[in-house]
Amino acid sequence: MSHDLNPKDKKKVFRQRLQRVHVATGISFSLLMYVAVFFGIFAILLPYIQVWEKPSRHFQTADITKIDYSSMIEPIISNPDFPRNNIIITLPGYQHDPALKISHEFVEPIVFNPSTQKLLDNEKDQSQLAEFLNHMHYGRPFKTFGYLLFGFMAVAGMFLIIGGLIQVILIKYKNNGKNSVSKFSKWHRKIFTWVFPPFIIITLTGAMMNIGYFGSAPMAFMASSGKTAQVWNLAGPVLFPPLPTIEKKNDTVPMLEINQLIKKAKEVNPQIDFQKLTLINWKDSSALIKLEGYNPYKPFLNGISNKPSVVLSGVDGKLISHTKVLDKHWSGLVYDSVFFLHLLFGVDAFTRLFIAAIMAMSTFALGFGVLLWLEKKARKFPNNIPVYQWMGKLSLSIMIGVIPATGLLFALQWILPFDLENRFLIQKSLFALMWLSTLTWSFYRLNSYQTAKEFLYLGGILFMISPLLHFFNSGFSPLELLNNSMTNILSVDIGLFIFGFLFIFVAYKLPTTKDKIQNFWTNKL
Amino acid sequence: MKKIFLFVFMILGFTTSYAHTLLLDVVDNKNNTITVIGKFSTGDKAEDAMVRLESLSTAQVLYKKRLPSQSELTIQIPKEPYQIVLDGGPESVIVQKGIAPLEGFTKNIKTKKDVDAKLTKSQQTIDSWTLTTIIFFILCLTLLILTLVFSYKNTNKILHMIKINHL
Repeated sequence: MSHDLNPKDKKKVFRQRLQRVHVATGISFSLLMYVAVFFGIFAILLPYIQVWEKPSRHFQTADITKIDYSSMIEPIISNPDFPRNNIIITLPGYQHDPALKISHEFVEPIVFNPSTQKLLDNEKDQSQLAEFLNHMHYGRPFKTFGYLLFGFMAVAGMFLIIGGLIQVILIKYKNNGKNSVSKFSKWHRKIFTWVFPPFIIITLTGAMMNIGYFGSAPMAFMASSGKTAQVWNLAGPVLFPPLPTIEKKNDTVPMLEINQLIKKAKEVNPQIDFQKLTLINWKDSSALIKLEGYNPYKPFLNGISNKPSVVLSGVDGKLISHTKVLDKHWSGLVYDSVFFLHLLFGVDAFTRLFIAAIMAMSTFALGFGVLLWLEKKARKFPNNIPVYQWMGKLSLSIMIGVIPATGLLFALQWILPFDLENRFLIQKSLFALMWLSTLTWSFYRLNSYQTAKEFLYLGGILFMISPLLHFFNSGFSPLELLNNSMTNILSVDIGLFIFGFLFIFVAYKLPTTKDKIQNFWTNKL
Repeated sequence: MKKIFLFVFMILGFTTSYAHTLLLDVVDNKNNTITVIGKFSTGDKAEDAMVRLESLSTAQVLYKKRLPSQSELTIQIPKEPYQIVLDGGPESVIVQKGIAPLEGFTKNIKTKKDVDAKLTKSQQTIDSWTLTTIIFFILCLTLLILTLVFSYKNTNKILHMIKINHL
């Protein structure tokens, strides 16, 4: 019993327990955590992928100051069948989408090429690659079960990070060990110590989004004296205040042109990059336009719940209200600053790549953690016996098998015809099939390193051919993409090619025999 | 253990209450009018959702109007058989058979294939298993079974190797 021990032994027992609980929790959640982080890298680059994946978005980004919005918007909203209230116009450039979108809760979105002012044949549900990658990041394909599973995994992630740091502080780890176990341990600790600050915020917000809103139901119930169990009924009106209901005059009057209204809003607040316009009671003499966007001069404080806005009269452009970044309730500022690092709304390519690099490093740290556990198990076997262990095979399939499966997802995006029935269902089903087949192959092969090599080669090839398939089937060569200022799309092609090349390089370097593997890890790490 | 189950069920219970589904309610006013009410399962109003009455004999739109701010419309019942459509955009279209007037419908329904094709169909996000899903599911299941078979065979192989190693 620990209370019979002297203080020195008590400390020792505490450290031992800390290590054991870290190992048990870590190995239980490591694969899920890896999946979330791996797909998180793609989710970070979502704005670029969602433009790359759609043929309808392959056009030059227009100069937003020279776009004639009125000629596209007016004919749509003048249609008597089109709703007159709460019409949403998403301006080109929002989330790097070059298209102009007119939407309403009860109407299918209408999409324009702002340069040619032509209606676009939107792919709708036929193309959902970026969205699917994002859904894989937080367990959405498994619905409520997925949310809960990934949410609890994020909680476990926070526990592991904090517990791991306590261990690093309390236990004097040696970094000069020469065997593979000590190398895995060293890099697992080192990387997580470096990435600790952003990682803890990302896991905290992830847990909040997946289980925090559901889990806070009892608290919401108590706080509202039994009026509601849904936290959004309480937090929603503070974070996302609804537009006030404005009585219609029930007349029809001419509206000021959208271009003029945008210009007026720019004069009111030149710091805002306007992204979304909401038309209220349009064509009525009570008409209002709410122009909201992102203020890049105040990062971390706006972009999610806090959207600085200018409200003008639709009739004469008179200023009705002006909301600046710091006008938001303090809870909104806290909410935005905490979620900013996770959702990355409005940030530039450099910041996205920086966070993606941190996430990529985290996948390595997770990989080293799992390898450390597996290597300790493998030590029990003599050198001439292959290590055939279920967790090793499962880890191999999930951590390395995900590479060819995701590569196939990208390649299929430009192989499958866009008018194919059930296109997206076939694409994601083939992805699942490929991922599952890596599990079957892992259990079929005795040598896991040989299997890893094969998966990396296959994944590398699939990632490398994806841009080639894109060039061929989209009809745009790299030069044309460059000359037509479609650098967002070209950068995805380059990224995929580099990604694929790196996998092939690692596959080439990876040894397959037990003795060479030990040398590989001890010399390379 | 009971407490853990209770907690999980409680969370699952709360998660299901988050659904935001469009609902259609039709009231017979018994004076040859109906009141069409559109609302969400959360209690929110469905202002601006389109209400259409479509003839079942010709597929013609007999009446159409977007829901006002009160989220309900009182409509004269047509003389011919019809269906009520509440169009809430993609994946959210509700169709309900129309209520007959007090004196009954004066026209009969002529079931024609082309008319049926023109009529709006209900579109609610229902997770149904299509043939494609079933095929892929069977393939996945086959792979899982193969995994178990390989695991069994290889484990035996390793055990045999260990046995020889100890001899």
